Amino acid sequence: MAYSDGLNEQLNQLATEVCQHPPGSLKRQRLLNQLIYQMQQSGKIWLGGDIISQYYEDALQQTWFWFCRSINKYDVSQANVITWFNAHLKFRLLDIRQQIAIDNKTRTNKSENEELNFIDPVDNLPAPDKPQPILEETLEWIETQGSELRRLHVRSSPHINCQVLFQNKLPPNEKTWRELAEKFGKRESTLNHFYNHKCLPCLLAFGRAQGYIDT
Amino acid sequence: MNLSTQQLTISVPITEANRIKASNFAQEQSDSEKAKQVYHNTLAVLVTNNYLQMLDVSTSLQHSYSWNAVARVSTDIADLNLPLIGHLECRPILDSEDTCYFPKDTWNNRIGYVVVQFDKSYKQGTLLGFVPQVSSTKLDIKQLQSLDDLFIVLHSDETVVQLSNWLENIIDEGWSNVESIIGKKAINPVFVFADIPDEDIKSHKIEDAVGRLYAAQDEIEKVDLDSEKALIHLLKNTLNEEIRWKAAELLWEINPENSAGGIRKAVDLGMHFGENLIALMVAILPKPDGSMAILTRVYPGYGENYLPQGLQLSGLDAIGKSFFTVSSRNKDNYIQFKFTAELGDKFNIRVALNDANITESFVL
Repeated sequence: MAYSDGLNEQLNQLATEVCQHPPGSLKRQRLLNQLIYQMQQSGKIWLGGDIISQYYEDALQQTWFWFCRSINKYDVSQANVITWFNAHLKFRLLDIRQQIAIDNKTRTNKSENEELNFIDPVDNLPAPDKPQPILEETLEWIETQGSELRRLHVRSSPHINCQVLFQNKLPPNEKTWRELAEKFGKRESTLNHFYNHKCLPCLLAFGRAQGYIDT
Repeated sequence: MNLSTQQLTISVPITEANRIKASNFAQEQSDSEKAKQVYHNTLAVLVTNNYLQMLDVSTSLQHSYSWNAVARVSTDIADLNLPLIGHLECRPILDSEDTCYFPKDTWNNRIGYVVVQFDKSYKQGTLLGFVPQVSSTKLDIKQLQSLDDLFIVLHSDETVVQLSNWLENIIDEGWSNVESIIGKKAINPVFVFADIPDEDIKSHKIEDAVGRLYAAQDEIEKVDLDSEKALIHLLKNTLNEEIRWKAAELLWEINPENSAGGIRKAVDLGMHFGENLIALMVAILPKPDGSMAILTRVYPGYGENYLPQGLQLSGLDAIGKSFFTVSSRNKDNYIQFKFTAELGDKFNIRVALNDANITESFVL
């Protein structure tokens, strides 16, 4: 199809242009953005065949990483860039399936529901009815460190301090900035600026000190 | 989705591992509404993280506020740290939405905002566009700028030194430990204890210096007998900037590894000034009110005792307006200027001698 040939040519040309600029350069990033966008819009990226695998997204993501990393190896005389991409994607999916099969042999039977039923992850998030330990600890810290936290306050308003703002901004008693602006007779922007610059850094430091950083 | 077909958008697959991570973070929350928010925020950060890695932009989830569990339970933030650049906010929106929400928690200390839209099954996130700043909590996605503009912003900040990263021990290229650039002797001729061989005499001299420092102020009472502890107590509690820095400098002498003395690094500016060896030191010291005390000092380079006369050290604000200038006289060991800045503040330090000058840019 003439349209398709033109599109392929255009994509191949873009891929070749990307390689002419060093990784991390603005020029390369803009061309790569254009290339990825046009490939995605072309509708020609392989969608995984008849059976939609639950591992398709993993294979696709790995392929995008590989594609962006390896594009300098792309040879326009060998294949269209979409074909090159799709070939890798199919192999990645095969690899992942094989790996899963190996893993499953060593594991006991998995619930069938997990495989067959689509579960909306957001609807199934647990709704605990009592505060979680992290929040509990944070609320406790706000109380026990009161004297330190009260030292940081809005200029000439000692009653509007980090402790009070934390008590009003953290669950379960969080209020809107508008409510707080009314309550304290200050502009929303004043309170918010103070909170972001003075209070949030204290919270972050507490989180770091408690080792609550994920890796 | 109401975007015109011309708008550059990039779709990023959301892997099983991404969804599990988001669920784990969501489960730390106290109610289902908050859990949903954290789930969306986490996926938006992970999608952006994958996208930026594809485009060769370094990212650090560990240094993102959103990877701090205390920040997650207490704020509505979805930032991604880009080392040496800053924090990029990644706001999530759902398949059915055409306005994006920017909570006020995210209005400060961001290099910009990207918007990530999820499909119904959370298997794909699409980066819709970018805005460098926000001034309202809602934005129609039609008002977003092109994703390309994000990269222009990222490249414009290439040479800015990110001081807040120093506290996390991420040090910008070219900056090193002060001793390696200036040499031990030149650092502070006032207190050089390292060369005193007798430990008893040395500790007496240190005690004397600490005692004199306490005596020079009447705000804080000396309670600790141990010199190091007494100094830390003073520098953490004093409201006097001169005293705070003197205490820090003494602490650098006694125990340079103690983090209570803040962080100081130096850069060799020699190549900009011909024969003259010149080094710029910047030290940062967190203050009790959450802001940061900053000390900028120009030293003669390795092995030299004096600065060339007429050397100027100036500070320029974000728009290039000068806020201080100091000049070296005959036989100055160093020249310096101290000021206070807040998280997100930008400033430039210029060192000039005759026709030559060099400007270093910083963001806190």
